[in-house]
Amino acid sequence: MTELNRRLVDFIQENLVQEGDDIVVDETTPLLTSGLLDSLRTARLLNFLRKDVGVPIPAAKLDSENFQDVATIAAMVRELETV
Amino acid sequence: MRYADTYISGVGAFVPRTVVSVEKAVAKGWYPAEEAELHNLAGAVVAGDVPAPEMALHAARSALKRSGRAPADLDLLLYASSWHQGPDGWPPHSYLQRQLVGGDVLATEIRQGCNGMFLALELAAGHLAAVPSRQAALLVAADNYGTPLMDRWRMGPGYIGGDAASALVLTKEPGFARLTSVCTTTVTEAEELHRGSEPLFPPGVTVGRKMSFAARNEQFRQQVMSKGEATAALFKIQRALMEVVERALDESGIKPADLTRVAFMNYSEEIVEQRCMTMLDLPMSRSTWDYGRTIGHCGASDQVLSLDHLLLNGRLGPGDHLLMLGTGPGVTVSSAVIKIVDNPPWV
Repeated sequence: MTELNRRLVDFIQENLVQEGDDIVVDETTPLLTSGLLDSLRTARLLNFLRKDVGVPIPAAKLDSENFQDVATIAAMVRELETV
Repeated sequence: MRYADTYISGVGAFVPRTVVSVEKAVAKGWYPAEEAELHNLAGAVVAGDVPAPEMALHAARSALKRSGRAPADLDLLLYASSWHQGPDGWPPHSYLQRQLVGGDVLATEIRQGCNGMFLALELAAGHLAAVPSRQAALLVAADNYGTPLMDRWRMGPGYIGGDAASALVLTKEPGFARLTSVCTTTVTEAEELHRGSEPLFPPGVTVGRKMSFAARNEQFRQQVMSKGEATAALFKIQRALMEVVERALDESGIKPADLTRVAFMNYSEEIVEQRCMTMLDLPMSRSTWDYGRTIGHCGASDQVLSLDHLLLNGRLGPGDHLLMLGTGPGVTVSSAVIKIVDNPPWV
């Protein structure tokens, strides 16, 4: 697992999984169908990407396809980094 | 929508003096201690049995007086409500027509929940611009949640309900502030978020059903549609919020860093920080949360109450920009940018 994927998995596990959800996050955990990304937790994830990872995600990229799981998020982040 | 010559000439507010603190609400068992801990709200202003239309009249009179305009100058009255105002079927704006503005002013109620004032701004600005002779519009919002069938302490996720009224006088002639942009969009996929699994018929209040957006949000997440669809809809709300902010700032020719203050809804610290301020890369010190947390979420009035409070405390002066931002049932997402042109004559 790449360093970016690891950081994303850890962030989601610690900050977006709520007590009582017995979800163990990995690179392919479905973030939408598991109900993990509501509007507040989406905001938390976007702020982590901008402030900690250093890659702001423009509104135009905020499609559910880009946020299926850690793997797709990481792919989008790498693509944005090269822009 | 961008506006060239639409001004705010008067601001009015009616905020009850009685505040019920979160500590008291926790001690009385009205509000869970863990929510007090999680959201860091301070209290809610409570109007007792003062009717919402009475509060609206106070705020409207104050805004009109401060604007230096007479009732006869008005071409439009829009009254935004989010909860019951008085006897069912009776229009609350007719009370202001009788007591204040008279019968020749086109008047109606705006029912767009906590975003009602943004819709009123957009409709009024367009109404005034459509005909050269039209000069001024009075926009009012008011709610008293202290009624049966509503529990202000369990109203919705991350906020508690406050009772208050607010008012704006919009003019084409220059006023102390310019309205440079208002933008609204609706995330239709999230339409059921505010009705949950409740039947459309008969309407809940007619069968005495209690109203709680918190309960309906939970139903939306758990039962109304597949978890994937529900989450994707909620995901789109945050995207829509970012888009209306980008559009309003762009139409106003400014960047987030140019914003002196941002008035979001009077929600929990984390919601204001994560969904609004950090999204704009601005510190919480530029929000109006420190004031908002002391009065509660006052329906469609939050942003105008913050504007009034900032002006009275000298925290907004000529050249400053204020971004107003909010979400409401629908789910609608709205933003507005105001540029202060002059010190208001009443401050």
